[in-house]
Amino acid sequence: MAFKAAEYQRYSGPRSKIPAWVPLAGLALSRGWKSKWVRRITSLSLMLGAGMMIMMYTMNQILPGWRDLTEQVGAIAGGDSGDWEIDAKVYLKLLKLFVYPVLLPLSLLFGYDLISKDIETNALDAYFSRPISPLSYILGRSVAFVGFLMAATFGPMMLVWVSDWATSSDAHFSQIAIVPFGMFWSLLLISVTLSLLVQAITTITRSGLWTNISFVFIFIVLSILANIIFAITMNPNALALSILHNTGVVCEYALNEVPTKRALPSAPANVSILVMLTTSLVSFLIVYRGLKRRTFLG
Amino acid sequence: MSDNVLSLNNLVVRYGSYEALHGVSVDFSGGCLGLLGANGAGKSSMLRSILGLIRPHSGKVSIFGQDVAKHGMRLRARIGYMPERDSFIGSISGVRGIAHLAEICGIPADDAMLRAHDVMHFVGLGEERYREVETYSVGMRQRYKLAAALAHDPDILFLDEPTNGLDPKSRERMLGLIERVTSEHNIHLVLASHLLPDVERLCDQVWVLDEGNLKQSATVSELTTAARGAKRVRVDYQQAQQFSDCAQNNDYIIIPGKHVGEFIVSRDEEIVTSPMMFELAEVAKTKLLGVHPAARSLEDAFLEALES
Repeated sequence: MAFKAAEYQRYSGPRSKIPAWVPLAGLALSRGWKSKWVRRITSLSLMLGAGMMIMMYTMNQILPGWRDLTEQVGAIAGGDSGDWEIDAKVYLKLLKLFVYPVLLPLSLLFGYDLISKDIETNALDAYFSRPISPLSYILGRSVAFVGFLMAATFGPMMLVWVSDWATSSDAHFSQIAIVPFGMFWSLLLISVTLSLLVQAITTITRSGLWTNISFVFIFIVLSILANIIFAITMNPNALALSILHNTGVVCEYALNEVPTKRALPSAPANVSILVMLTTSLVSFLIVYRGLKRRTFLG
Repeated sequence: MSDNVLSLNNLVVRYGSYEALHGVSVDFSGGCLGLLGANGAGKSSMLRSILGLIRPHSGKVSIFGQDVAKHGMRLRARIGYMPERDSFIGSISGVRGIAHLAEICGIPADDAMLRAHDVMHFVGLGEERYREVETYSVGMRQRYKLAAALAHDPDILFLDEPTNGLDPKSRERMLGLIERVTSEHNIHLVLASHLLPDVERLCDQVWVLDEGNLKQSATVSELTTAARGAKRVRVDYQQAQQFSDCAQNNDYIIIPGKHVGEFIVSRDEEIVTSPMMFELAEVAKTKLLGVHPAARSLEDAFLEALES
């Protein structure tokens, strides 16, 4: 095939067997990455992970017994020597560090115009007059969305964990063995919930700006509402109304670490997980219905 | 399996309580088909229901003999659709968007990008292919939509008002592109338009729609050539009345033409021949300036179909 064909030519090559959602996921990734703030936050997150990895490696090279030393310093300073150990408790703090300032803003910045832009430019007509179903469309978008969020959070955290494990004694492994799996499923659940929630809001508002406003509004309003209802009823289940609260509870439950000093009780983990799963399901149905109304085939 | 390229069987489309198409049944055997109708006649509804973008209330649509409701996915890889309104993927370059749409239709990624470049050059957007589509002018967007419809090499093209909003030069260019694709590459065309000259130029068959009903399905030549064996006669304008009176006295049906001294002359259940006209002129003692078969323009045929 000539590169600059002046004439139209029929295509005689093979047809690909790759499912239609794969190119959709690829395009969603490249569109999300075009956002300056997505690039900045992701780079910072990766740099944080890489920085901690380099720090651990360097410490291990310069001062092989640095872990024991820190524990002794901690004991002299008056604390329990266990507080200065790198265990699941430290990883819980790290997990929250990646969830609140990284995952939450990234989910909004990455996905706020994924569907609303397609509605605005009538790209849905172009998509659904081609062999793609609403399910494939949602799958393509969500795989890219969740995959990106996981890469930006779970990736750097695993760098830290691997460095920790590689530079410590065998006995230390038992303290941190739960971490990778716990981090993975908690981040996956939070990412899936947030990605579907953002897509549902963008399907309803059909505008990137209103998606941002609605998302922040839902977070704030639900948090306030959860606290008010809890203050009235003293029922901790009410706190599960807050998405922010649920993310914290899921992180704690996943690493099996519940902080001892708390100003307020927290919602039971099973209730929080159920609320997040329900949010995901309802969000999915909103997106699916919104798209299904634009096509009946599939 | 039917040989028809497109078949509609009792197709009903409703938007709430409003019925946009009232049980249309018709076949298209291939070639270039024009969907004619005034604004709101149901052309876009018909196209969108054929493509599966809206759900018909009842009825069946078949393309290449396959039921669209059952084999929609497979069929849509063989269909190229150019919607009436703007439709593009935002925030990416024109060529990337077209390659992406071709990939969705099963063209491997490398080939899709090559074809995207090719079709962009073909429609004359080669120099603008790396620009985002948001920055394109109206004419460029129309050509972009055509390129997007062609990128995956469809067997049938559905074009909805492809020359809308184009200046005469761009319109000519667009029609030329469509003509080349359909005539040289055996791609079937369904063209929805209210611009009759476009349809007359590109299509060999037409469906006339009016208020959701199919008023006529015929070839363009059937509609535009000799109407019921009539003749278009031109006489000296000063003798026009004299000729008209004489024709009526001799049982001819006479309809004034577009110009003074021009008439469409016909007779019930009889073909009017040129010698009959010479004889009539002699009887009326008028000077005959011309006798031609009474061809109608597509516009005449369209208006007549609507009035019927």
